[in-house]
Amino acid sequence: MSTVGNSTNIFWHECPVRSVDRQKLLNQQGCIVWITGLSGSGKSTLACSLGRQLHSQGKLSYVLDGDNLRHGLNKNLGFTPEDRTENIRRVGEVAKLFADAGLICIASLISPYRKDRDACRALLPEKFIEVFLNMPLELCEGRDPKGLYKLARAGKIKGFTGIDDPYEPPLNCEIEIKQKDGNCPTPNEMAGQVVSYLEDKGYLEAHY
Amino acid sequence: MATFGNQTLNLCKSSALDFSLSEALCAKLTPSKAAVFHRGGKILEICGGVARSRFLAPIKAMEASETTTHANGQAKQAGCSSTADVLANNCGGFSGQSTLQMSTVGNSSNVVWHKCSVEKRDRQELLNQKGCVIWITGLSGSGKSTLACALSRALHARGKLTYILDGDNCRHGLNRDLSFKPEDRAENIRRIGEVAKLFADAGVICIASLISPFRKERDACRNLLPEGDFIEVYMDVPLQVCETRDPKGLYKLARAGKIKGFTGVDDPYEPPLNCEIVLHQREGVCDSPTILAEKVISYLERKGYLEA
Repeated sequence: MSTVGNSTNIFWHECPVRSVDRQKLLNQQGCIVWITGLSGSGKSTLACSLGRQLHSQGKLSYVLDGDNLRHGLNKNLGFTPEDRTENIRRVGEVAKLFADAGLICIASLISPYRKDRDACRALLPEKFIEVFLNMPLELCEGRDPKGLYKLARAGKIKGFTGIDDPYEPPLNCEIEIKQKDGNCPTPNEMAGQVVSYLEDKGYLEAHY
Repeated sequence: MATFGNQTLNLCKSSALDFSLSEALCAKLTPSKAAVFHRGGKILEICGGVARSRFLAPIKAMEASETTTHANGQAKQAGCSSTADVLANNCGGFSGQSTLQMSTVGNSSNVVWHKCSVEKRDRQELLNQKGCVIWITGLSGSGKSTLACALSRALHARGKLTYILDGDNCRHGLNRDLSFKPEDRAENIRRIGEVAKLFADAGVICIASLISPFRKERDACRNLLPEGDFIEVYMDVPLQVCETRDPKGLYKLARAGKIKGFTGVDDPYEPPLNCEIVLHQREGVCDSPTILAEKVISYLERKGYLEA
């Protein structure tokens, strides 16, 4: 029995079906692909493309989108710094569960603070693939797919990342995606880059 | 039935098919033969979701696509409201739905819907099962975790993907910030319900195993899921039997007053009024976990959850 955090009298339950068994079933290794970047940098688009490409190879993935989760698990959180941290913590914990279940879990959220992303990495350090969509603010603002930059510039949203809240780029991520000669890679090119990485590292097959 | 070269194979759906066997069968198929199969329709079912990947060549993105697709209303990306937008904005293309991608469209009538994202139905086809939540509720010591383990083992043996969300396991991670105060217990269950919903959407048979003593909270979790996908299993074991087992020594601590608000001792348990499965256990009449698991599996089979 252990005491963990605020919970006393709890057990770890061992179970005969383990991560390695699920890997064998799915012929892949569970992991977390953490896509970070400014609003409008293309995270959800990349997540979508990546999911599709993986599916076409018979691989099971699931997208945890910052927005979607805020409608469900994280609906009791706002956008204060503490709530942003908690939002990311919970997504990280859920992503860890999905990775343990054998899925390639694609988390797509701004996640602007290094400390919060690193805390998620620490949950599953061997299987955490950070993808930084390094797109210039001007490009993201030019897209403004949800009209949020406009609202932020008009002062109608406070603490909007990139405008009046910082984005701390990763210092040491696994994959950085940026423009080439001022041109954006297409979603499929970006997804292809991630798929190649996963292939090279052996995530798209079971090891036993 | 499947035509494979000059041979005809009689194959049935792979849900009972051993995966190693299905892999051996599919190893005989090459991409070119696979292409022939696609026109035949649902051939991909035959070798099961996992083996399917072995003979489908990855489909590369077709940026300047020759494929005419109907994207109206279905594409979710910005600037993807028309086919022209799709091609102009390189809106992710429609790679990924490989069977659909293989048809050449021009003047042909083979125009297919390409969905923008992978949906639950696609994942279910891949896994050859339907995602759902099996919510096991009951007193401490009623056998919830034991059943969850037995169930996941038995389903895994049938080639099904399951995942257990155990009240105790979750409190080591996602819910480590929660105590056993009433509001935190409610939040514990709410979060697990939401996570279970995500797993079910991912196509996984998610087994949630927690006391979850209050009807209102269990029903709130039920309401998160589509009709039928929330399968409540009540471990109907008398308190005396649970207390005699006392696998974690908690009843003893509770009776000694060292734990307050312990369900069954000084906190209520509200049994379900209308759950899908009730597993009765009485002293001296105790089915083994394997037998109990089989009862749940029969239910899943009858309701079609063990196939796509």
